Amino acid sequence: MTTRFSLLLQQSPFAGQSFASALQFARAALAKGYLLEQIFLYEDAVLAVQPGIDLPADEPDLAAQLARFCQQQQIPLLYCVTAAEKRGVFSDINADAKADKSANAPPPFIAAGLAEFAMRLTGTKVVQF
Amino acid sequence: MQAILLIQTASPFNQAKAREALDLALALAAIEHQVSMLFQDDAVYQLLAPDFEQTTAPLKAFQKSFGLFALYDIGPCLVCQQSLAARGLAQLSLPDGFVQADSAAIQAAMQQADQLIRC
Amino acid sequence: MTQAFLEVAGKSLPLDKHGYLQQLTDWTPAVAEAFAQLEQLTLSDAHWEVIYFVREFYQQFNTSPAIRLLVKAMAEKLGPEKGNSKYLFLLFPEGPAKQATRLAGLPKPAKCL
Repeated sequence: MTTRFSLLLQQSPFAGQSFASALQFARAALAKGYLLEQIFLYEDAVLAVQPGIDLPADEPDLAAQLARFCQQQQIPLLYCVTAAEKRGVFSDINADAKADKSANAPPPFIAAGLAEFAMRLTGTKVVQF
Repeated sequence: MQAILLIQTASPFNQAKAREALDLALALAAIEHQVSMLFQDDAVYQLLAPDFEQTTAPLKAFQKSFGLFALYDIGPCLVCQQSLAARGLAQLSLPDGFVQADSAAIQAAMQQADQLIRC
Repeated sequence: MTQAFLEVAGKSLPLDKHGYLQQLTDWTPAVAEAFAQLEQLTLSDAHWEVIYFVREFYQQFNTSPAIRLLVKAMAEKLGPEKGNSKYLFLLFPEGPAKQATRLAGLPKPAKCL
């Protein structure tokens, strides 16, 4: 049976090499015929969904690269809404009328919870970055 | 269902990290994974229960939530002996359900798990 | 952003941005009544049982129970007739964990658990 991977990212896309490493791993895994069940952004990795990321043209935007990769390869790219909310990034699975932030991050980012990570994890191998 | 050993390494003063590791453990257990825990490095400080009536430290007493482990069948909760000793905490009395583990016991726990997640 | 308040017995209690009590210690049963009125709920003994259950839960574990946890904990303490999501949804149609914790004066539970 083909091995399926769950990738778990926990560091900021800027203050570490985890996004670069995860991208390399993901490309290599697909090239060798393995499957990626999910890429899950937790802790500071949720900073990747910020709408205002603005980098000089000659610096790699790893959050955007990962998003593009997931879109092309149709890999679910999930982020933890609670972790995002705590960092003032996007909120809300159920667009809470009382909240002043209501939008979710744009596709391919998918607002999700840890429960979804836990469900998708079954039958996969977790690799952390 | 998988056997998952969640490795806590963050001090309680690194609040987001310790709390988010706890949330992850609870979420995995809620989806019926068999979760066990290992407190290592500065995470052993999480087991020192400060007197929250007295302290002015900006902390939430999330250790109280360790009481949820029983409800979720999370366990065993191993506490790295070496990390305790290195911090002068070898004699620390541990909460119910927590046990000191030497490197052989930790190795065995890692071998039994399907997945390791380090937080 | 403007600060919202809940008017209870002549006092203005500050709310957080989700409309939950800012100060846990502000809670009295009258707070639950006031929230219930806002949410168009008539509180029965069954509602009060859940409200006090989540308050006790919070005091014990320092965590606002989200739905899965609430169901599990209720089942353990009060038996399966009460510890199931259908029973709880009939009492709190907008979401048992969300509504019961608000009425009980607790912080909003994490969505992801």
